[in-house]
Amino acid sequence: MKTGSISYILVLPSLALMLFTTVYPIIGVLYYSLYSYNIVTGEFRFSGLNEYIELLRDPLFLTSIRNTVMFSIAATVLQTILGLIIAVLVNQRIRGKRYIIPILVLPNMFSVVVVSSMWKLMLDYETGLINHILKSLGFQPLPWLTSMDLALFSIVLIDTWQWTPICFLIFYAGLQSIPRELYEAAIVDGASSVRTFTSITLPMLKPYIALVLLLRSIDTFRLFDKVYLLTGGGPANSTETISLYIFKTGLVFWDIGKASAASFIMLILILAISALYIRRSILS
Amino acid sequence: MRILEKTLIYIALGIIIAWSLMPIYWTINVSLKTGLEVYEVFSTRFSIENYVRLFREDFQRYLISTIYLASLTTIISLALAIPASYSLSKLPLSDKLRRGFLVWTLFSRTMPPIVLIIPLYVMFSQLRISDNLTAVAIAYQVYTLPFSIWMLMGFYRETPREVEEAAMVDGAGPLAIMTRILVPMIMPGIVVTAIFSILMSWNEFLYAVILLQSLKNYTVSLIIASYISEWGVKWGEMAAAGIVSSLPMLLFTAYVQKYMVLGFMRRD
Repeated sequence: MKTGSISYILVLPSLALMLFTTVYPIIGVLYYSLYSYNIVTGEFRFSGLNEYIELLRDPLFLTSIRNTVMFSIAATVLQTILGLIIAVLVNQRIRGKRYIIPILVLPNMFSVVVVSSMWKLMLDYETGLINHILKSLGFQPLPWLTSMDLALFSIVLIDTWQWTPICFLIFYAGLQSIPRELYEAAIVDGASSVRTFTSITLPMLKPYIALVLLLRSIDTFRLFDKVYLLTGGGPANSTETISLYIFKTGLVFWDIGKASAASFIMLILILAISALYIRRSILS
Repeated sequence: MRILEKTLIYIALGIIIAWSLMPIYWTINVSLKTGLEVYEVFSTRFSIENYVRLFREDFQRYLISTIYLASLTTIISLALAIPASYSLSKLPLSDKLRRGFLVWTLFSRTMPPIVLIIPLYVMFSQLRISDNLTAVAIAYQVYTLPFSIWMLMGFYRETPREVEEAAMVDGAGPLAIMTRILVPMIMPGIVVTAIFSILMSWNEFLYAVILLQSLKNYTVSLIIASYISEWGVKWGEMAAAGIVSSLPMLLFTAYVQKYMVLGFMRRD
């Protein structure tokens, strides 16, 4: 009996803090979203679903959803494919693996702010390395972060530089778990390397591919730091994301009601992916 | 044919390695240039002027704030997670609570952090503790607490049951079993968990930029962010700051490299 009560006492502090840092904010967001609430003016009155209606009429909010979804799909797909290719390459019989793997993982060792500062230096129109290279090859320099057509693509590129290493690591772990005998049997049967890849490697990697797709879509969906630091959502809102929209609405214009409604919509949007992630983690 | 294939693999890997290292090389390069040399691709003169200036402008103060914040975050997480994960993995608990805890832990890792911060910000500012490193350390528990519980549960589960049973026969209670037997056994796991939590708070930006306003509380991330927006004027220092602040983290990650995949699968 005594052990029973102790086991609850040991969990209690964590449970309390988790309730405070996650459950309380979700209830808070839902509650504030029903009010017209501005911290600076002090306005606080019930407004029903008005904040939601206003949001869905706000073209900037709709743009931010579109940008976020586009970014999330492009970055996730690109990183998954690249990570897979690199993992297959490194998994071949090559020399120097012990040195190659740490180098390939290096980009993920830097904080997002440092990564952003590095790419600010890389992509600068006048002094950036990328435009130096373009010019020396006889091309025109490109306005990577200041053109409407290129900015979101540049952010995809930066995110890909930072996160492909992790996709690679997960796939590499997956490749190592495939029994060698399968490949040996394929060689005996005279299967081509393409055929071996599609009928052994890909099916065996399926759970790892699912994991990478889930992790990367969850993470890319919350995109904030890189756009906040490098473009501020511009030019012409072409890199405005949902996180940035909530930040500006709530913490720059102090419209807590509207920011809360946007937060709640964002939570609903991620829910399907959350459900897949939870189911997958509990089953394994 | 085999040789051609091998050559192509090495060329592809060479391109990928160049792509991975280019921004790091360039940042080091910029950090060693001064003034107008920024416009040259390959400068021949190197100077550590940016690094000297960085520390003359009190960069160490931001380092200290960051170290303090990372330590506090990690201590809170471990102090709560070590007993909680012990109970969740070893002691009798109602299945509903255990399962609920697990599902919520997973769910909280999929939630976009911006969604949680607005109500927390409102509460912190009403309590007048918003511009405060302790408040940030509490907010960071959103990331570090579920992660630490999840990691430590794995390490507790790997300990053999017989050890506890033997201790129980000797009359040790659950608390004594935890503090005297299991915690020393899983110490390497605790260290790994602590390092991941230090890395997380060292690298975090969103909550820091929202909750911290005054310069005296600035973390390294915040000061580098302010250099980014100061249009080119301080890019040499920005590059130097990025290099300096990344060095301790590189050492930490080298230590936990074995656990990288594990950590990332459990993180986010």
